[in-house]
Amino acid sequence: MKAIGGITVLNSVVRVNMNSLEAIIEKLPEKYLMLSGRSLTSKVVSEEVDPAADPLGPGNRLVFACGLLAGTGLSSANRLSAGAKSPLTGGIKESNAGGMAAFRMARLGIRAIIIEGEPPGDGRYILVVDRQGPRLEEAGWISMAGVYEKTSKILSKYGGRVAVLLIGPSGERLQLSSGIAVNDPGGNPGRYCGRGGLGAVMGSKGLLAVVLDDSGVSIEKPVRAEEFNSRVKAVSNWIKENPLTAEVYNKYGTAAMLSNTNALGGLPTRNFSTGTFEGANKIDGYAVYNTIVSRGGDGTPTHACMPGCRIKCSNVFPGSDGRCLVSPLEYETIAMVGANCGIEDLDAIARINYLCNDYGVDTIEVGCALAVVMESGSIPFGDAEAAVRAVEEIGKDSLLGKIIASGAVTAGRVLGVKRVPAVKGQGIPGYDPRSIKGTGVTYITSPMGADHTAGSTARASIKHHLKEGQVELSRMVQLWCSLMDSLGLCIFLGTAIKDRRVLADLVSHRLGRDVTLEDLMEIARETMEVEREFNRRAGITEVHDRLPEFFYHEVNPVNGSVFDIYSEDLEK
Amino acid sequence: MIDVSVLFKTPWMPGGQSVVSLEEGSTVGDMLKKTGIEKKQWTELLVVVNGKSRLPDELLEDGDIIVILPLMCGG
Repeated sequence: MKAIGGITVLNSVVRVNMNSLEAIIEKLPEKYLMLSGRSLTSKVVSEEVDPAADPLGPGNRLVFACGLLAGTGLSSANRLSAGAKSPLTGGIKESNAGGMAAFRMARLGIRAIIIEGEPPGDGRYILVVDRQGPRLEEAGWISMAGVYEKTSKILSKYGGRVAVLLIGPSGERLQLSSGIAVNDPGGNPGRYCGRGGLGAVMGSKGLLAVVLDDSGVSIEKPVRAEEFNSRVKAVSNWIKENPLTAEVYNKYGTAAMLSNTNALGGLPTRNFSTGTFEGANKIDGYAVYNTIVSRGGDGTPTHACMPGCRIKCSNVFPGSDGRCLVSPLEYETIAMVGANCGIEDLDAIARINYLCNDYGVDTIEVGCALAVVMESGSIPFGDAEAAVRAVEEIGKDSLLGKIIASGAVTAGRVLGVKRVPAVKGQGIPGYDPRSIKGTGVTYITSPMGADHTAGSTARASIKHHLKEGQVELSRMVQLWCSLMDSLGLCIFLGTAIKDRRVLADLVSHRLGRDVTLEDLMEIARETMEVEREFNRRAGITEVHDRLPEFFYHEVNPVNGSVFDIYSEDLEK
Repeated sequence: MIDVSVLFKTPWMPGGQSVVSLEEGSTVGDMLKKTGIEKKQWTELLVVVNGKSRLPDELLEDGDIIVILPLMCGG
């Protein structure tokens, strides 16, 4: 596959028409020159998808995009964005993950992959992109297999170094909590574009996997390579100097966050009935680290989810026999499957995480739905064995399994539960919005629905349980997250960056075209505006910018807080 | 004098729990100074008092339960 003239870096788009089963390479339109990651997926969705379209119908598009800095030596720059109209929220969605996919895409010179239409009959396909170009291959031989088995078969057929994006049986069944898995540098498909049910969109297109193979492709160097590499080195040094990136994420992973939310009364516990969990010490970052180190074997507390990452917040969590139980085991899963279900058994949480990964469902949505099932009285809070069995029902596709795999809102409706933690149809992740109110503002105002990755404010020096300053804080953090997502950068890299202008320098030197930080901020701003406009046209308006009612009157017993930020506060 | 309980959960600092005695009218900042944390490090820390985050200029009371953590966002 050869680079196409004009734009010199990442100038190809793969367009796949599932109606005609054709896959072609297009030249990246000039108007998209500065767009990548979330800014590109959201722009394509807004331009090509009718906001009224059925998310699981032929009119929806599934878009994958790497960041402008992917495939280079820069740390933490290989997040892959997936975008579409979400079947869970009914609005626009972008969900991103680490792993190999963005790296291999960038090395192939591809900025975006756009999937449109739906196949004739019950056809199942794999999209293969290599130096010969893109093509669809028949995928009946992996259909309905779990994500781990599918990955293993794909790696056997196409070679161990390929990147794979894939869905599990849940995505093939069009279930609303389905995500899209990505393999890590070791081949393990544990990285997830988890949120918003994008795996169901992929399933609706009859697409089971995308295989990216950059073997034999000559790699595009940054246009001003020397200047680019000097900035890469500066960023690496900042990562080494910052205690969070050098010590906390590196050793304890994201699970370190659990001590913070637990102390703040912000750890969702037993379906958001309180914000501090009595079993927190058994599932926090220290417990994860100590368990991994004492068990040894396959386990490691420090693991890179993508090539070139120097933060390495991922891990491999072993069982008592030393064999990998799941990789990674992260904060959101521990919070939502653990504390939010009253479960203090790390092995059970890891087992549920593995099962969710294998079925291809989002652990946050499943954690929310499982706690709703517990609130209905079907399963007691804290019963780890019953929780594992309930999640196994997803694999059996039983009625209970279908209910859990359909997410928290559907589970609440079917089971008659009134306290359902969700915004715009999507389950609330691991931060109680009464105790960390800035993140609560993000949940209600983000075009993405309840999503911590859209703007988590927990790192700010602010009194998190009070309303003052939270709207402005959330607005600022959401913009920053939009910027990082739009460059395909991990948000944790932002922790180490001492001067944000380095991002503009890196983009400028990669493209050979001078760009300022303000230019990048403007793209981030426009991206959020494009997303809001799509949602307005899809019927999601300011009326939907609110939490479930119980958060406004039910006191979080840890700190006496309710959520007291109303629509009039948002308008200021 | 007032006594407050201080628990360190900051991986790059010595851990453990201790009771710290302070003058009446002491602030969060006074407590941080007394426990040996330099002012330039304060911006990297989250101080939680009785389940609520507190800033350095806020007053402490006898019996307060304090946790000191890294200021971070999770996964």
